Amino acid sequence: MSAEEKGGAARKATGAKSAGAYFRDPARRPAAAFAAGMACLLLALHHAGLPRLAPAYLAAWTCLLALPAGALPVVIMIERADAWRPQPETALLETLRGLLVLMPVAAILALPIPVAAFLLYPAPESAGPDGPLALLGAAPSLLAIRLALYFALWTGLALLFARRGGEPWAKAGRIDDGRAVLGLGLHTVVGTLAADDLVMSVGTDPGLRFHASAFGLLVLAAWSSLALAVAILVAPPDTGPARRRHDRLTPLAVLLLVWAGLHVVQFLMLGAAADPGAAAWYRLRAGFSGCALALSAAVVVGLAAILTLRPGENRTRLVAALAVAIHLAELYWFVTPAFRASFRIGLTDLLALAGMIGLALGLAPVVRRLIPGLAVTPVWPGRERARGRPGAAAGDMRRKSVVPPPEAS
Amino acid sequence: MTERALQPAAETLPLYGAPVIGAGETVASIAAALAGSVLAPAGRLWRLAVAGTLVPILVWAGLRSAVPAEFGPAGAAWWIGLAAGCLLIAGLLLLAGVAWRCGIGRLTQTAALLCAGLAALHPVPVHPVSLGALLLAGFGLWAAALLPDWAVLRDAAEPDRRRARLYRTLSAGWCGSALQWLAWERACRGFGLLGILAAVAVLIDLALVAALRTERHDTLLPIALLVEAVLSGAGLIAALATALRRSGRLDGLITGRHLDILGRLLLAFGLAALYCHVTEIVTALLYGDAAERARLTRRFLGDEAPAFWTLMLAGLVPTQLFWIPAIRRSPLALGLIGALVAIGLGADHVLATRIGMTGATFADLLTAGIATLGSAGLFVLGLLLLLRLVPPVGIAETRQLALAENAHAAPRAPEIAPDTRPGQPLGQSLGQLPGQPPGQPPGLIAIFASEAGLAEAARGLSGPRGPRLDAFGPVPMPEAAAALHRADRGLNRLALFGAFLGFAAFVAIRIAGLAGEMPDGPASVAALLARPLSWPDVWPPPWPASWPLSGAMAAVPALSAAAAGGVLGLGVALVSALRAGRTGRVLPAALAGHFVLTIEPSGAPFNPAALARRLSALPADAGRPLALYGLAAEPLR
Repeated sequence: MSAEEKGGAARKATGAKSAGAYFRDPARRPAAAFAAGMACLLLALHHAGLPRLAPAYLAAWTCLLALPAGALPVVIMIERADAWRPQPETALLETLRGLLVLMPVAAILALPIPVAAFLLYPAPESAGPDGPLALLGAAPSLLAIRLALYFALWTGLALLFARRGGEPWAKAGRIDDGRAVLGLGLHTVVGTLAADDLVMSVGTDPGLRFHASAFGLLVLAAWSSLALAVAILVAPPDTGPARRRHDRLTPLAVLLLVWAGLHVVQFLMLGAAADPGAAAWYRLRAGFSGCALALSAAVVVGLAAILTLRPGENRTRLVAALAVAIHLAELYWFVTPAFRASFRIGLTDLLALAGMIGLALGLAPVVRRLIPGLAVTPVWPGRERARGRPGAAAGDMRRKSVVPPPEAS
Repeated sequence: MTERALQPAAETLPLYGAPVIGAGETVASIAAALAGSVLAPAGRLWRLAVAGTLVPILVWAGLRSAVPAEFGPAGAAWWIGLAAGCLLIAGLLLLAGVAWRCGIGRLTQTAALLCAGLAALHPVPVHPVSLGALLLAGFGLWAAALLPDWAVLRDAAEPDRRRARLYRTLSAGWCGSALQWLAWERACRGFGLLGILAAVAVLIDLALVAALRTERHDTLLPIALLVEAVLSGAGLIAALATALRRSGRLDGLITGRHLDILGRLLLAFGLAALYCHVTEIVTALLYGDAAERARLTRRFLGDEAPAFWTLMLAGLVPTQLFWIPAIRRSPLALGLIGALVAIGLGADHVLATRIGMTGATFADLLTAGIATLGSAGLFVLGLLLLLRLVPPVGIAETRQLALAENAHAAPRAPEIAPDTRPGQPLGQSLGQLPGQPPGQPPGLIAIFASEAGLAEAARGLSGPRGPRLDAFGPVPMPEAAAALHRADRGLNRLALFGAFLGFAAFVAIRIAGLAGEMPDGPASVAALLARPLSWPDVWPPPWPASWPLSGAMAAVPALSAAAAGGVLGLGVALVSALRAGRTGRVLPAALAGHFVLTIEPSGAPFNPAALARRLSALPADAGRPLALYGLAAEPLR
């Protein structure tokens, strides 16, 4: 026996593991993901420096925030719509609720934003033509206070709507109209202010400032569309007879159409206004990559609309995957051109996104332990058990909901 | 992979909350009440109401020429908003498959049609194609939804030959076969979708007109107009529903739950409209320049203040009273607040046209306001006349809701031919329906208590050498259509083809017109098309409306043209599907409102007695008919 083999046997005897096996252990995956995320961010910092990393981090963070903030109104709408439907949605709703756990994670990862505000937002004294309220709000300390307020409200809403009154389809668990309207209203107000504050205001050059009152709604629509698309990709299919399953493509297509409609309407209204600030904002984002993104988005929206005529599980997943790609690029399109004179996605952006994913995966279990109200039963562990299930449709072969259908409850 | 696997559930389980239909309503009672309300002679109240509308109509006719030209577009925009709102409500409820929509669906569709027609009487601020598409979509949805109801009226109006002939023409050969129901459901959904498209396009067109002609460039304006359109439509429907419920004794069909839902709708959309206006103000305060803040001051305290405060105090703030359940559930309060909201929201169209800047006096404003309210007399007159022609509540949809909600709503076996009870030895002894001559071709008619039973029986009898089957019923029968392997894919294709044709025709006409306006004619157009998404380098652009802006703005009426084309295509497809769905036979009037399966020879050996025995052997809850008859033949009506 060689020395190496002897060492391996000794490690095995004492229960010790190799470095790779140590991090592949399911119990240590969050720590491994966190470490990998930190490594990606450090690599990006080394590669590009702080001034170039800060916008990429902000864009990646808005992608993360999109998941819980976008899932929140969709959860409310689905849960409310279930009151009128023969068979309530099950697995998709659970998956969307599962995304709400990312709200405190996004709050934690927002901490660097006020610190780097001098790199991301105009200084208070250079607010340009904006009003006195904007001058007051541009101070980093006030930005931090507003962020704390937004996340306090959002986390409260997430706790409220992640709570399950028994099974989700149980009548006791259904939300009433008042709760739904108040939840949606509060989320819309908070989301509009946050989108205006964090996304619309980016850029240190006062000459490139841009404002549009529909911008908040536009960002909220993009977030919701992204969250629903991600949930469709992650959620297992509904169980039950084929003809009683829910069509998941139509809600996604509707959200995509609303989002695209808001983009078009904003463009038309600002064009009709002949606003020089808006013209500069769009010109900065209308290079080759920007035009390619716009055309791709139009194709995806058209595809989603057409496929609603012949919905199917694989088609729904295809549209969802394309929608995720488009929305991630769009969130970068909002933020990064303000600092680079054009829109393009580079290595720094990809590293920032990877870093954000790693940090979020690392922090999510900790948040679940600290805030049990957000610990929604995950739906994916049951997938493996569905392999080879007799009678399952081709699309069902690799997935199975652990959530029983309403008939079983 | 089964591509059709994700269809929504066909059956409706009991709805959450209070009932949305009277407990005693059945398939027969619904038809009797609604057909009776149309076919009964006009009462004194109706005559008085018609006479009452003549006063505002005369006022409108007298003042019409005295109204300053600047006010005309505001009046048209108000009617367009109401029409678009009603059409959006009707289309969304239809597409979402909301079961309780039947109580207000007909009112919503009729109001949309009338409001669009009234908008056309004013100087229209939007592109004519946009308004035309709104009118066409409103008419398409209204007429298509009426087809089965007209057939019920045709059957009920037999003693009155003139009326029966009218309804026979209008019902376009409706016989209630499974294929016709399938086409009808799809066509209604298609018209609903096209209506939504036309409504959204006309509202965006309205917002763009406001942005181009005035200083109102807020990007939330199109969304605010859309939300307010739905809000004003809901207000109008709330007012009409409460009035109709009171005067028409339709408490079982337009229930207190409907009024409660309308109150909640007004509350939610009132909040959404408030969000739009508050966001506009906050954005101007936070990020706006001095000019924007000056505009804001003018709105609060200056020449725009009357319109702004009317909008707030009459159009938006009263909706928040519906947080109080007692007010929301009071029909009187709902009707009054609904009417106030529908009128008050007209002030936003006055704001959008910036009438304050035209130097109009208060007398001009008063004249225009009275004339616009006078035109409401035309609306009420049109509504009163139409409700003498069509039932105020959709019969087919209400029957569907009753079957889902009320245990005893299903039709019973017709009390004829006592020797035709199931379980008896059948065959030569099969009874004939009364009034039918002897010597009919061989065949059977089976009566069922429900669509599910009919579908079970159809599945049991169908096969490669099975008899020719057809199903008839009082409500849509998706399960029976599936059992009979009936499918209709032509509707969507023709609608899409029509939409494409409409779009292409509009774009071609637009490009031809643009070539005439450009300095180098078609060469300039080709140069513009070569750089499709480039933002103009010089700002403001050299042409009055530059590419891509002019192209994008032309896209809005092009969308309307596509909707109009789609409506025409869908209309043609529906008519041809109705013709294809005719079976060559019409069932006797005694079987109207029943679930009926006709069984005829298909070339293979046909033994009616054996088929009858097979049907009678089925379990009572899985396909056994209530009654069996010999097939009756009658010329097609």
